[in-house]
Amino acid sequence: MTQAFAPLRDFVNDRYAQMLLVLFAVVSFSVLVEQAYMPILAKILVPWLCLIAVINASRNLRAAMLLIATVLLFLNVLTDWYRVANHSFMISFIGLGLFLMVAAEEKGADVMRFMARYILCALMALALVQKLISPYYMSGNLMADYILNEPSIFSNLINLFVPDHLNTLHQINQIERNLVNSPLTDTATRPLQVSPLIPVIAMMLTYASLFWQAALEAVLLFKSKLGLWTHRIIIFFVLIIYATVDENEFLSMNCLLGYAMTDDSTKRARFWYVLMIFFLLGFKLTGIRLNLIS
Amino acid sequence: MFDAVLNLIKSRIWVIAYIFMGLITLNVGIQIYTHQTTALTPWKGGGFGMYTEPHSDSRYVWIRVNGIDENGKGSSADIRLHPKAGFMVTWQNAVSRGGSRSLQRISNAAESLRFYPNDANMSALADFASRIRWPDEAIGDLQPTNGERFVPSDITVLVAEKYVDVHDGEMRRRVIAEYRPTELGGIE
Repeated sequence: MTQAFAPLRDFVNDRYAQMLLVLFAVVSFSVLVEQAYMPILAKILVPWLCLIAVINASRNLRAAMLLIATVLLFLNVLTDWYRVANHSFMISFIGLGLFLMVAAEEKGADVMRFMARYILCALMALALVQKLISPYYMSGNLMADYILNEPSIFSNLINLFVPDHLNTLHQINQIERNLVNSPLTDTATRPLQVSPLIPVIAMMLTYASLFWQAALEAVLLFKSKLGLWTHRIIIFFVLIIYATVDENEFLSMNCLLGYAMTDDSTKRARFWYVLMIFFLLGFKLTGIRLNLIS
Repeated sequence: MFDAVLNLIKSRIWVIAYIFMGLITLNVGIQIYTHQTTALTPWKGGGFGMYTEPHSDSRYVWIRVNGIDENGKGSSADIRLHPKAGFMVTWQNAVSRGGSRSLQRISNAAESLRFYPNDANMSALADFASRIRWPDEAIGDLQPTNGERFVPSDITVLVAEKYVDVHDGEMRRRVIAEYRPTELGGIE
């Protein structure tokens, strides 16, 4: 059994650049399928361009395919910049990064490692800063909004401590509909009857999320000292988010960047990243959600 | 030619990589600034501000048609374009294919502007809405102040957002953007 997977494991571990192109093809395909605003031309062309880039060894052809795919992704972002999700920006950045990696040939891997680490560092740091300066987030209301409006978020778990929580969710859904359908001139406030534990849980989740984001930022900054632990923590972070909200595409991009950060001393992590990406996107495309902690 | 470009990139790869990272940071900076100074949602625009403010699914787009009632007094009627008000769904199913397409277009425009309501796209929506002959179900006996048809300056576009204040035990709705075109229509 192990021998059957050996060629796959060797490919994942030893063909760094080629595997990144495979992962880019897979992730961009998933984004193209999911994003409603993506132009149809990009939806048709990008996966094929990626495929040609993967199977061709010629630098020029590979770079040309990646460049065209990236230009298509960027055109989508430029024409609809305030409608497309941040996923589209991220996958476009990754595409351009890979183009530079291919163009740089033997220096490509080092450049890609630097860019991947920088993008992940910037993502975590800037997301953390925006949380810290947002009164809505810091007051715990954002987390409360999620717990009260998204039945998939910890509802069964909370139900163990907060009696009748599932019924409360149903009532809040009715209140929300009532608020949405009320005339604009109406007093736009509706009372919520929630357990006193809900604000406490919301604050706990708020600070837990801040802690994890800060911890991940620290791990990325001290990557060279932590070695393989950097990657274990990134994968653990991805799993925590996966267990909470449906952000599989964005998480798969984080894994792709994690893979791109690996070097010879941490190549053991590569297989885990690839496994995570296929797990996340496989479940996304089939519509199955495990809701590990719901 | 392409080979030469790639070789040039290769020879200056670290400079290009640093510039590229700088551009990513600049993009995020511009998005954060725009979000802080306008109604742009932090969920869009590449600013990594997801999960800081209510999602754009919590935003609703309305138009307020301003006119006069049967007694000649100033009056108005509010119509929710996104999500579509109940009467719009029934109306859209009952009208001709062209009419249905037109109603769908205005609904799509409303859906789109909730991410970044600004003067330009709200003005365009007001212009679009003024060209629709709204049924009595939507505006009752409301008449245009001047002439027989409503004009863009009769229409106010409003974007409202739903949010939760769990500490006060309330769910609230607030107007986050409001725009009414000038007499001439469009922005100045």
